[in-house]
Amino acid sequence: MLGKLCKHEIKATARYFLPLFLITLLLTPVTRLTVSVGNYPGILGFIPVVVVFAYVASILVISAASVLLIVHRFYKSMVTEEGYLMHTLPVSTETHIFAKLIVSSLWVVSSFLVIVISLFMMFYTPDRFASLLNELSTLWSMTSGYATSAQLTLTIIEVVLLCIIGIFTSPLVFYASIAIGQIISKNKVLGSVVGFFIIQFVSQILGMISMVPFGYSIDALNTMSTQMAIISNVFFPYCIVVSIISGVILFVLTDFIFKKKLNLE
Amino acid sequence: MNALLECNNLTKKYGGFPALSGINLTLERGKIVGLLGPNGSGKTTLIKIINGLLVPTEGELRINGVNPAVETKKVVSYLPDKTYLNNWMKVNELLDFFEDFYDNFNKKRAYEMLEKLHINPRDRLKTMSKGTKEKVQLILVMSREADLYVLDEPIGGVDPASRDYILNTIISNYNENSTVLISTHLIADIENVLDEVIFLQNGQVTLQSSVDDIRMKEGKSVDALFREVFKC
Repeated sequence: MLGKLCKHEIKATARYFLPLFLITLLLTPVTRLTVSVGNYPGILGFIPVVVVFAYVASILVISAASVLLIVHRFYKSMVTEEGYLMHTLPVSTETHIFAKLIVSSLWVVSSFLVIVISLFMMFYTPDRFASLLNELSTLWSMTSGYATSAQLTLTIIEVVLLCIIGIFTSPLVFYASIAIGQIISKNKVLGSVVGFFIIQFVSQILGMISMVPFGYSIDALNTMSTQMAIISNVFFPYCIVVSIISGVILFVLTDFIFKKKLNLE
Repeated sequence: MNALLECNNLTKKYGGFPALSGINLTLERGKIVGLLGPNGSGKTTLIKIINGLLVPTEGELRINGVNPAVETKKVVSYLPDKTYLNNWMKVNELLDFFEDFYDNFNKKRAYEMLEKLHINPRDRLKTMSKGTKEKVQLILVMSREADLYVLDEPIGGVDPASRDYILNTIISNYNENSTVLISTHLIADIENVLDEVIFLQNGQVTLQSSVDDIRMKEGKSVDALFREVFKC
């Protein structure tokens, strides 16, 4: 069932994302060509301005769209009239939420890739690419001076892990807000906004409390050999644990509300 | 075989207000049952509980002996009184969707009904009138070989000619093991197909009886009895 839900979810969202991707990828060579032509005589000077504007706008739209569309899709399918269809499918609430998370991760990653590919197509020249690689290797050797290779490897693994967890769980804060929103208010949009602020408020407070142990162990932190050790042994593990815990809490909360407190009008 | 649907002291409160209070009800298999009552009598609340869209405050409801959950959703075919289908989808995409999720969906039957009602499977829902959408929804719901069909106001927006066809479809499509629960205000229209009626008032069952009994004992039609019982 998870597979079928994902398939349907992809169908339902692809009709927004694919055209956006296509527009950006088509605008990229057009923009590059337009700009590379260079001197436009007087009155035609508006052409590159308009084209560049359209290109930049399309990139911005893609970066914003993944979040907006993911939130909109969840809202529409779970708490409006379409909810009657979704919630009466022979599928558990957990599976619904997982399907939504998987598909939204897919779109976040592909949006990112489209933007990277487009920027690459826009700005690539062999010289620039060489100097980019050069900069990266300088950065690498600089960091190597500060940290052991074990620490570096650990940090890289942690960062990748944090990205994956972050991409997968980040929609949950919106999902939980929407779930709370449909309980606390007849106006579900307003309710969701209030729900969002409640979650933010609570998580700020919990976040502050969770920092307290760091205050007590500040001396221990100071005795650690390097900054890098603090980052790889304390800071990133802390972030990973916090994001997993908050992801689980938000998931359970959303799941519970849709199971027990669903209130379709 | 045990009863298809059972309610024991089923109660649902919104805030403090009871929408259903202490309902006891049993539905047997192989019946067409009218769920009748004035606005706000708790019909839709009961229907939502049957479909797992609401959780009872007290008491319980069992379908085939189990509380509403994934298992019961497989055997209950539900028509809400909303246009609940994705507007951007084509009819044939919706059929694929239903076939994907419901093992008991009979696609062939759905195509036959679409043809009968002159609905093009390649049309998008967006382009259809409200009545046509309702027909599509009803076709999807009735094309499932379910144990329990729950139809909330199924014919409200449909013209009288199609109404007859739809009622015929309902009668001819269910088998002796399945039951159809129809909630409606249009009693006179469906009276002839009903085996049994349930009257709901202020969240309580005031009458559960076979239609024949009503005609015999009261000497009047269900419509007339309804008007008398719920007289304002």
